[in-house]
Amino acid sequence: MWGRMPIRLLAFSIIIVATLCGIARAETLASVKARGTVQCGVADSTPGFSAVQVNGNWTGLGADYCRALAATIFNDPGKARFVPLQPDERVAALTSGKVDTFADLVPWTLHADTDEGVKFVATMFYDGQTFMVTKASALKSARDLAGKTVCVEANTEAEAEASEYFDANNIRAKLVSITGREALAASYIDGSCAAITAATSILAGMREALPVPTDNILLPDVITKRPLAVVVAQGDDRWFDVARWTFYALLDAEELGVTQTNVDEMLGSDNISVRRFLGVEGDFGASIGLNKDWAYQLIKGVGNYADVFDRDVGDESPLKLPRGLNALWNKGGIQYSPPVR
Amino acid sequence: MTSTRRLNVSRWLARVGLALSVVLLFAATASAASTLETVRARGKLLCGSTDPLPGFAQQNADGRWSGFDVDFCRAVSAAVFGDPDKVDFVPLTGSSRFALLQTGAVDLFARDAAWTMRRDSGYGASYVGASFFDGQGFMVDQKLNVVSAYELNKLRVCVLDGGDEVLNVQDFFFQNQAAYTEVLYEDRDDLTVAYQAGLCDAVSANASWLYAMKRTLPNPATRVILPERISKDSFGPVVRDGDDQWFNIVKWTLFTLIDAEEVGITEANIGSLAAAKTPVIRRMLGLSGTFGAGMGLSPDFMKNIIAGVGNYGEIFDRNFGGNTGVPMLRGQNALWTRGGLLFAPPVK
Repeated sequence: MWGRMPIRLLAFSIIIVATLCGIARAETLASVKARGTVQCGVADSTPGFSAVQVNGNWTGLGADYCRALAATIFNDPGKARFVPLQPDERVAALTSGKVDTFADLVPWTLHADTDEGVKFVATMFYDGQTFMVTKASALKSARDLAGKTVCVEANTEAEAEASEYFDANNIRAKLVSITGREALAASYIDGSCAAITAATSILAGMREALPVPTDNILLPDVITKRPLAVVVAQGDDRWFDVARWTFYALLDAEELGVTQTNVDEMLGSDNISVRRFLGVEGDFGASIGLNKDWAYQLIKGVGNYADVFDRDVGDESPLKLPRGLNALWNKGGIQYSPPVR
Repeated sequence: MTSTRRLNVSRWLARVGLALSVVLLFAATASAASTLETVRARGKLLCGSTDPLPGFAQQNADGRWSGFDVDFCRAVSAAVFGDPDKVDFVPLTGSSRFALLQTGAVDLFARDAAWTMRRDSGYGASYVGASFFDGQGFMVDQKLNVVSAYELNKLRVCVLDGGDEVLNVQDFFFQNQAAYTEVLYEDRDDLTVAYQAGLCDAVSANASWLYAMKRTLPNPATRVILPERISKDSFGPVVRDGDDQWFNIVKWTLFTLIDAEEVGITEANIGSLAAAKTPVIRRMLGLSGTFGAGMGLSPDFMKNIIAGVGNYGEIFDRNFGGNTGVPMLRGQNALWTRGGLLFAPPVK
């Protein structure tokens, strides 16, 4: 009997230390709570991902993630604030604490992950570079681009990727770089470019802005992997946990069948996983400094991942992007989350 | 008399607990400085592994460790030292695991219990990502002639008591309107003995544990692990909180293994790729770009990892492939481009 006691005390001590460490570093969550709002920086405007409406409202996947944080912390998605930033000041704004995260998702790469003092949380949208052509062109795949003029925005990663792709696959296309996304769109509209290439997330929005969007298609060839991710500053594990589990909860809710519409009904579910998730049984909010109904508030406020996806970029949005890789892991995609348990 | 003595002991233990708390607090604060520096100064990595689990971690007669999780530790050693062999393995048991991570007795676990919210956020430690996707399955004898869990009916199922496993099996049979008899054991070894003795027709547990059990049974080829998974579990390396540099080193060791398989760089061909022109291969070999500096690693850290232990697929084959005599399907642990869930951000 005595043999077990020191182990319990040791475990107790560990929890105390872990808690102390947590408190010592819980600066972001504490300052967010004191401020009463979540501040999300946004530099890039991309329809469906992070875009400002005429009324000043921000919409999109990244914007909804910001609201998701506000819902878990304040039970109110309306406590999200959007802070416009210049591209060159965004990292400093995050690491200095001026903003708590970004409302525009960031391409996750080795360089971005390890050289800038930021911490990648999770991939919210698996993106990749592709091509847009007119239906009338009868171009069906990237191979058909041989001999055609393919335009790309100058000084972007897409420019280098397209060049590498054509070289590696021996496709003799004429790659033309154009400065600025608007000029790129204009060259496509006037027919001087047979195709334009960029990330799916960007092309979908550009297609939507064309005179007749449905006259244009995205080719099936996806030539890069480009995970668009949620990012926080380094040095605050508590905030990282809040950000990570807020995102995972969006996925878990979809998998458990908990939606914005049925979340109240689900409070009476017999399913132990649903009961844990919604805080009916156990308390999983405490370890990240939140109330035990944090996930209920999250789904009530913004919906689950499918709700958000459909609204912003999927079937209910103008972009009509398929789920593809962004389907859940058990429905043909790779979106996967550990359980709230 | 007895009660006084108990009181004294309690008081003594309380003091020890307090002292430990203080020591641990300092240890935790000190170790927050830089795990990388500590590891370098020590000259070797201390890698925690769970109890030996055949295929994942096992020790031979000479005391040398091998296995899937062991190879991950060796990969981290290769990233830090350019040498996969500068690592000591520390066997861990149940409740003391997080304590050892907190005090700096180990630098990481290659594998802990399944990744859950509580373990990820409640103990001052974080999972860097999933290195092995798992889930509860069933193992049966070949002679039952069953190829799917949905065919299971009217049989005895051995399950480990005290966790979600029992509930998962109940749900599964209830939803399939099938009958079974529960045979519960509190101990894995007892369960294995019971199954071997024919006290149950099927065993239900995490697929990785079923696999490890299969390897220890006589005539493993006569046992079949059915393809269905009735729960979702993932395992992955765990590091203590407070050191983002170390978190990144362990995370990018995992990502490097996955990216290398996707790009096609192997332990076998890496020596012949110095003249490669493909940009991503050149970046991963440290021939272009200056990756790694932000983590305090040399630009050839990815090359060292692959040369030292191979890519993810090679590690999987070495430990679970046909050469083991008990092959495991890649399943969810295939690359995302091949129907699995393994994905890593790009090297650029």
